[in-house]
Amino acid sequence: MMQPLKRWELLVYYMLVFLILYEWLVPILQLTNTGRIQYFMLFILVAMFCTLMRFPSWLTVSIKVLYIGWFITLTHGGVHLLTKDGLTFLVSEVVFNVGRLVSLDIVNVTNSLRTFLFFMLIWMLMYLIHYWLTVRYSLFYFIVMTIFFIATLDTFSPYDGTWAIVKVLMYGLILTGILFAKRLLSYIPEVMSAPKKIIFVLPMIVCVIGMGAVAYALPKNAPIWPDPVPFIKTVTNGGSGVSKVGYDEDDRQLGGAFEADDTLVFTAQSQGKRYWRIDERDTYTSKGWENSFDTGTIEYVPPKSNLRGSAQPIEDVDIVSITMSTEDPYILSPYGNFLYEYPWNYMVEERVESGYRYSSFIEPEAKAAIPNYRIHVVDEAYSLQQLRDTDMSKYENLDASFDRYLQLPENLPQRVRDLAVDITESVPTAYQKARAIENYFALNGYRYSTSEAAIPGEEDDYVDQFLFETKVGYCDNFSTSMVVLLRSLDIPARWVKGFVTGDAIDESTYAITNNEAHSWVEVYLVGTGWVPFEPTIGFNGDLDIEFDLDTEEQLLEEQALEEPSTPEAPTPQQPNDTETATQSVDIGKWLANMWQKVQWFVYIMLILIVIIVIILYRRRQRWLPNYYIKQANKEALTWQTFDKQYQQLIKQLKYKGLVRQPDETLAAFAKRVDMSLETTEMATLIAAYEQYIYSDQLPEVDFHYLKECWEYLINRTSG
Amino acid sequence: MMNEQVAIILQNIEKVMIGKREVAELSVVALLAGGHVLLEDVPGVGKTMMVRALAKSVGADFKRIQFTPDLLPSDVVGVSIYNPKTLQFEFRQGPIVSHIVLADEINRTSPKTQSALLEAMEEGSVTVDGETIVIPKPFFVMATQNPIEYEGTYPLPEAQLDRFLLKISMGYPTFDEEIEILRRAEHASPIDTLQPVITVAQLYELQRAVKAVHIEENVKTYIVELARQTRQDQYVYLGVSPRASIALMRAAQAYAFMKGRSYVIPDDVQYLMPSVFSHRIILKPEARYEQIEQQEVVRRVLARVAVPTQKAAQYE
Repeated sequence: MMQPLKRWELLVYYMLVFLILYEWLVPILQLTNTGRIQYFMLFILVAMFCTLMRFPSWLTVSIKVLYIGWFITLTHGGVHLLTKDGLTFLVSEVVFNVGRLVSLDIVNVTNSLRTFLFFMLIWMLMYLIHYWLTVRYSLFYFIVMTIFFIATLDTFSPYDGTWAIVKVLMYGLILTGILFAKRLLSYIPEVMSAPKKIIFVLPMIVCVIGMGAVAYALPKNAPIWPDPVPFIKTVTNGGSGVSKVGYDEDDRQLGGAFEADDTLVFTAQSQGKRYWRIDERDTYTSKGWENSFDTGTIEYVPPKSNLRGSAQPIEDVDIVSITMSTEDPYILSPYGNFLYEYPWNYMVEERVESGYRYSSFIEPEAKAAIPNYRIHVVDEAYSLQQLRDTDMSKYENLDASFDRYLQLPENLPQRVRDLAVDITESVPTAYQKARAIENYFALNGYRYSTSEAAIPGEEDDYVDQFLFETKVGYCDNFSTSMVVLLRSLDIPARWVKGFVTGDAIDESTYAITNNEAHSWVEVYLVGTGWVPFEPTIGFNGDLDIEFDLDTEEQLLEEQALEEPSTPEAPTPQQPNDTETATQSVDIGKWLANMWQKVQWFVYIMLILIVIIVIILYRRRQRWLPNYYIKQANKEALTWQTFDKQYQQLIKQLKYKGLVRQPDETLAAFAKRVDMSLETTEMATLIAAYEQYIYSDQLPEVDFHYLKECWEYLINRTSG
Repeated sequence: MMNEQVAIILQNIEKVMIGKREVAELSVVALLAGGHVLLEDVPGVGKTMMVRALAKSVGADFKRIQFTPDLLPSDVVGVSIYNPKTLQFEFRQGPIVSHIVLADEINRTSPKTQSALLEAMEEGSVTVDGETIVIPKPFFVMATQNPIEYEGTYPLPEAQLDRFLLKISMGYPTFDEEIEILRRAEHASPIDTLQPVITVAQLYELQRAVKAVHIEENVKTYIVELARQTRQDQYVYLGVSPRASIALMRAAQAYAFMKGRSYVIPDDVQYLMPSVFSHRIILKPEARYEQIEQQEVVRRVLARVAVPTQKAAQYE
């Protein structure tokens, strides 16, 4: 028999449970923007104290209810409970919330009710834990659930549970170990003294702490699988999973995770590090990019092309040599003044509107890549004077041909426009505004990741989602966001695609693989022309503008650039005023909305439930006896119930591998079972059962004794 | 547990029979069921002693017929002799007209004499010169025989073996048992001091009580199924007859009664089936070549038939 828990033992358990519950509460309160964790912990302490002191239940309940009332009036009403105001507040809250609940208006209940429900939840949890501790002597499932809970929050929410998991694991293992020792000790008749018990569990605690420390200190492999979260998000949002990185002409649907791809695209021999521009886009659709025209006019470009307006040459000619490794027909353009040199039987064509260049083989008239060609490049420098001179007033009378670089989708959320103003209001010129936006991401905690980028859902705007919700992504997120922010300020900007420098093979040779596919921004600065910007975190190296002024001024300029204050990003969970202002809440819409949000969670829960059901089914021989016994306790003692219970026992024995052979008599089977289980009860039971099935009269038997035998046997089968 | 009176009989037998509890029990089963027993084994293992012990325990009149090749039927059933005083033939009844008869070495005598005995066993009466004499009940014959492979014997026709309820083998005693046998036989034969523990009337009552032992439908089905299976076995030329089914049921009733139960369980049937069925099965010649014996066939049949473990429908 289990010895009842000593009070000091319960105290030890409760201390550990308290620490675990603390790890529960922290993320919940953090994620729900609830403060005052100390009061919730105090509530738990009060509850534990009441149990430890073995207060009668009426006293415990009143203490807890008083505490909850006191907390709610103090935090939500700002008055003490036991004053007139406090009681009035409490009564009004109760009346109001009951009214809401009765009319099923669950959206408009006050926070008092939410707090109250949360306390109730803690209360129930405490009761459950108490039950597990004192009756079952096992808290294993609770600990597993805690770890699962924290791991889920750590994965899917901003909460960082790295330490919490380690701590919960340690507390949990110690608690499980102590409880196991408790169960173990209950099998020996002698009663251990307290110090002896402590010595008994001490090696286990030392082991747990030691192993935990060692495990924490050991170096760990990177995860074998990539982060599953973007994948899950992608799948639940209806996307097509992880794509491969590379240059792709279709940009209508941006977002989603990328896998690295080391396929070599081309090699470039160049004196400097260069960005390789291929194409541009002008129309943002809130999901991706398109061009405002279907097919541009195709022209043969003149051998010289200059993408920048009035920049001046600063260096000698750099003869760049490109060797293509793929059959892609596009032609790469560097920044600066340049001139192509290629075999006579090829042509370079350009779509005039987009600036997209491609090559074609002249003779069979089929599009084909030029295997290698050379570009004569003259690098340029910008006039800082001109850049400084890009006052916003100059944008008022732009030519209509710039309209397509100011295009924005109609449903662009207002907060994107507000953010653009916030970022740039302290600086006057277009150039400075562009720089402010370019720097905004790095200074405000955005992260670069190819694996965690989300795909916008039906209702989402790609830029809005990145700027305010995910804050993690790759070049497309950063560059598209910058273009949209600039356009919302009426500064023409376009989205440019191509490749970045790539890995240097030797001093002047660079290998460009699909991994170097990139997108960046070109901003139209009045007086200078289209100037490239690089907003993507981690890529600002090779596109720095060189200026034609002296160093001192340049420094000053750069200092000035850093000055623009970076306004704080609005908190993502900003309350939506319009929604609360609406008088009648559309429950249907609200439910649909909720379903959208909790969809994946529901699916995971369903899968979990299925798994739990399967596990329960497979482990049914463990828990079925308890169920049978409980059922049997409710039923009258008759031959019918005895027969039923006997059949249950036979079933249970089957799980144990004890199956009666068809030609085996019951008595022989009973003998075998008794041998195997080291019991004698089966023979007793079978003798009675034989009488039941082979005799013509139902004799008087001691059902209570039979039931004891049955209970004992069926319990043996679950062991 | 055990029926008290039966237990006393068995205890009494055990005073002289060392370690042959099973044989004693089976003999008593046959006695209670009103059937006859054929004890088969090599000479000298205690067959006769067993019968004598049983007969003495019951206290019924007991006759012993030693079968020899020259024994005549009239030596068994009796003979009519002319009485010069009354000028009439008078019937002198033979030793068969008795409660308990030991037919020793039954296979040593001629078939003619054997059939006289077997007929008396079957009919429960003897007929000489048109006069029928009913043998008083209880009538219990225990025949012994040496295994038929021995020289100078007349094997009993297999069909006639049907008359015996049980055929039992004695077997040799174990080492310790044999020492104990020597110790007891050192001074005087213990059989001489054996006292009866039960009267004929009491035995008759017991036999009636045995018939009251209940056999549930499912157990009857089991018995019939077993019997049918013997007729379908590949090595069996002739399976057991319905009389064998009845015999098995009677024996099972007696055994259940002996075990103190008022109902028969399949265990009883399984336990008794080799003794009841094996001498009634006639094997095909090929069984002999494959070293298959009746006991083996019985085992196979037992393994084939499922034991009833469901309550019979009428009580549901």
